[in-house]
Formats: sequence, structure tokens, C-alpha cells
Amino acid sequence: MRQVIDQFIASSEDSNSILMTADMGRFPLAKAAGKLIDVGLSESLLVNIASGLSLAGKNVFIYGVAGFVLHRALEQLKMNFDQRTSCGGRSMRLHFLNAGAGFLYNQCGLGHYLIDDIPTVTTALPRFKCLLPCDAKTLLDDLQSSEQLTYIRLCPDDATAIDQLTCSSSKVGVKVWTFGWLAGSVIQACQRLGIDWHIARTLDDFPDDSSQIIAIYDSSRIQAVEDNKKVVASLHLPDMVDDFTSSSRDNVLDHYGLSYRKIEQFIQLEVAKHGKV
Amino acid sequence: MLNVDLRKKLLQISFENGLSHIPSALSMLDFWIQLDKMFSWGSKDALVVGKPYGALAYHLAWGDGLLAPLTGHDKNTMFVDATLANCLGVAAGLCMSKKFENVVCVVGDGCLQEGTILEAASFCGRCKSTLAAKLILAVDCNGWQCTSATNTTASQVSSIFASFGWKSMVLAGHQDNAKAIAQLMQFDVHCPTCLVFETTKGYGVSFMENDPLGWHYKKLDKQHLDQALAELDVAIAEETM
Repeated sequence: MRQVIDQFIASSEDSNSILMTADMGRFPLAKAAGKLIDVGLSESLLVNIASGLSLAGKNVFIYGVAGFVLHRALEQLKMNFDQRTSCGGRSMRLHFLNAGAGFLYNQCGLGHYLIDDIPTVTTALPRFKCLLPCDAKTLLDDLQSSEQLTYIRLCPDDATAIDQLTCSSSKVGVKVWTFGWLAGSVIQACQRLGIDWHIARTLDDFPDDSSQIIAIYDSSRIQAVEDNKKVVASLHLPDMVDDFTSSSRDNVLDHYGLSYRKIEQFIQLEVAKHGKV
Repeated sequence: MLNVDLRKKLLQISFENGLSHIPSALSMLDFWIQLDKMFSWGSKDALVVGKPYGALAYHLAWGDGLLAPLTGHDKNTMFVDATLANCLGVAAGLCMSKKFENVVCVVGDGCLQEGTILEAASFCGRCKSTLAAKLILAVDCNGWQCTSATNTTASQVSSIFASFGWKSMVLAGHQDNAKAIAQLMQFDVHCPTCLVFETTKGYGVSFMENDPLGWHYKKLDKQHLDQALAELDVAIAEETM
């Protein structure tokens, strides 16, 4: 998805748009356009400089991987942005683009496991709106968001392009709800089983019909989802992980219950419990 | 002693409003009064407050309504640090925005122990060509933090910044430095400048000086107010003799 970001920043007509990194990713187009600032390996500094730029009217996008920015610079994200969307009456804009959530970069070590990003954002940074793109097209939409503070959870480059974000053709009375890169697997399973689905773009994006919801997501428990009265079952990552394993992403996902095989089994089981036969 | 009347005003206001952090304000008062006059504080000069616990010193220099939010002030105060040490990175961001000619950041020496500010100091030295404004860091170097000594001298602080590629200089914080500061301002606009003001915490009130455990957080009672004002009156009398 870095290419989408790179092209978006480079071609943006907003001269105030700027992309920042802390020695992560390659963004040749943004660099050539003079819209890239790489501060080196210093995530707290990244967010502090972003604060200064934002206070001066810049529309700042920061790119980070796994928990490197979110966890190391949580103080700066909270104190400089979340606790004051304005400073002395000046509006502040920051869009935090985060790659490698869940186990997408699992082979890079324990520091690249990020299972609690959404619970962290929703509790510690409540003014950041979580945007949940599931492919390149939805990412582009989210990059154009008019929200002041956003947390954009990036999906991997190989995420399946999604044609249909919501499907309401069956009469089972149950929909499978998910977001992000799991959308491809969930839709595939739903199509095989004849179940409806809903791919959420935000955490409060639930179908407005009377369907019961089976929620499946690659994050530790998200309270806002679990509290939704439509949700009758959920499959998600645990709150803690075992120690690092150099196994493949598929094996790790299978271990934590989110491989394709286990997703399909879960849907089948829960539809049998809650669906209208 | 400079600014004796302002010191008396500072103590009086602190007493009347039950304010603390009086030694911090007394420490930075003299150099801040001078520094403040060096800038027009129009849209081209920005202030980043990294030492908010000396707030009375800013207000006394500005002669404005005390207790008003620092960021809402027409002095173009862009940012007031919340947890210390983030200010220099924010100041660097303001410099990089190309919206200002001068960005002034004021900190205490205690916060120089934080890693975040050293990240910013290193970045500003390494990447000075990206700073599109003159960055001035003023350090109130009184050698004390809340409860203990920093054990770092002004010349050591200056050396740290110089080693990162800054223009750095130690100045006597309670003397008239207007000429020296003006000369430094003429230095290469892209080179970040660190002014290390060697100060005394609680300067001018003998029982507050260098006693952070006793007075960093303490509020003035009437007895101590009268004692402090009497000391300052003696200072005035001695200077006029």
C-alpha cells in the first residue's frame, strides 16, 4: 500500500500535505516532490516534529510499522494531539498510517507483533478516528478523509481487491462482519457457505438491517465491537501472544485461530447456532 | 540586581493567587525579559514554551493578564509542553514549516536529561539545512530539578549542543546580555543556536535560592512574603547608595 500513499502524497494538490517517516518504507515520488521528511530512527521526535508542522498549518501524514510509532510515541500522540486538537485556537491535523498490524510482519520478530493497536487507539487516543481500509481503493478514500486526526490501519500489498463491501442476499439472518485485509478470506468463506457479509470501514460501521453479527477481526478484543448488541459471536486475536516464532504468517494465524480454515469453521459453527435455517 | 520591582510583583502575585513554582520563575526572569525584547512576536516569530512552570516570568514580561492560557497569547506562543522535553522537536517542526523567521524555545536544564530532547538536538544539528527558520533554544541552567541537583554544569550543557553541531554559548543569566544575544542573532540563520543561561534557582530571595525541596512547589505565606520583599528592598537601597 506504500505505492498508493506515495502517489497520493506526490500528486496531492494540497501544498500543505507532507509525509513523514522514521526510517521506514520507501516513498520515491513523495521524496522527488519534496513532500517527504525522514527523521531517522526516532519515533518520538517524528511525532514532535509532526506537531510543529501541524501547528503551522501542514496536513501531516506519518507512516509507521507495527508498534514502533504507536507504542514508543504514544505519549507524544496523546499529549501533543489527542488531548488538544487545537493549540491556542490552531487546528491540528495528523493522519497516522500504520502498516503491519496483527501478524502481517510476524517474521520480523516480537517487536513486529501488533495485536492491540485498535484497543490502544480507542482507549488512549479516543479523538483519533480509526479508518480501516481493506484494499487499495478504500485506502485512497481514507487518505482523502476530512477528519482532523485519523489512525489508518493499512492492509498488505497482497490484500484482495474487494468488489462488494456488503452482501445481503441470503435469508439466514446473520452477517459476518470484518475489516481490513481479512475481508478477502471472510468473503471467500461466506460465498462458499452462502452467508452474507459486511466489510466495515470504521469501528461503528455496522449494517443497518436487523441481521445478527458474527464479528471476525485480527486484533485483540475491541470493546466497541463486543458491546454492539448485534454481535452474537466474535473471533479475534488474544490479548497476549506467545513468544516469538519464526513460523510462516499462515501458521501463526492458524495458531491464533484466524487462518482461512478456522475462519470458515467458526462461521459454520456460529451460523448453525444463531442463523435462521 | 536586575528587575527587582518585577521580582517584588512576582512574589506579591504568587502570594495573592496561591501560586507555586516561584523559584523557577525567579530563575528565568532576567534572561527572559531580555530575550522577549529581541523579537517582535508578530506572525514571523514563534515561541515554544518548554518550561511552563516559570509561567509568571512570561506573563510579567508581557505585562498581560496573569493566569491567561500561554498559548492563547498574542505573543505567538505556538506550543506549551505538557510532559517536558517534547518542545524542541515541536520547535524544529515549526522551523521546517517555512512559516517563520525565528522560533524560540525555552527549557529548564532538568528536562535535558530526557532522551526525546536529545533526539531533537541531534536532528537539528544533523539536518540544519532543513530548518527554514532561526532556531534559538534558551536553557535556564540553574542546576536543579524538582527535588535534586542535575549535576550538570552550564558548560557541559553547552558542550552537548556544540557536539551536535549547534552554535552554543554560556551566558550569565542574571546579568545584561542584550549585546551578546544580539550578536548571536547575526550568526548563520540556518545554524541552531543554544543560549545556556547560568542562573540561580530562586534568585533574589535568599531562603528560596537553591532549595528545591523546600520551595519548588511551596506557596508563599504572609511571613515569608514580607521577608522576601524586605530583602529586595535592601537590594534596591544598596544599589541606589
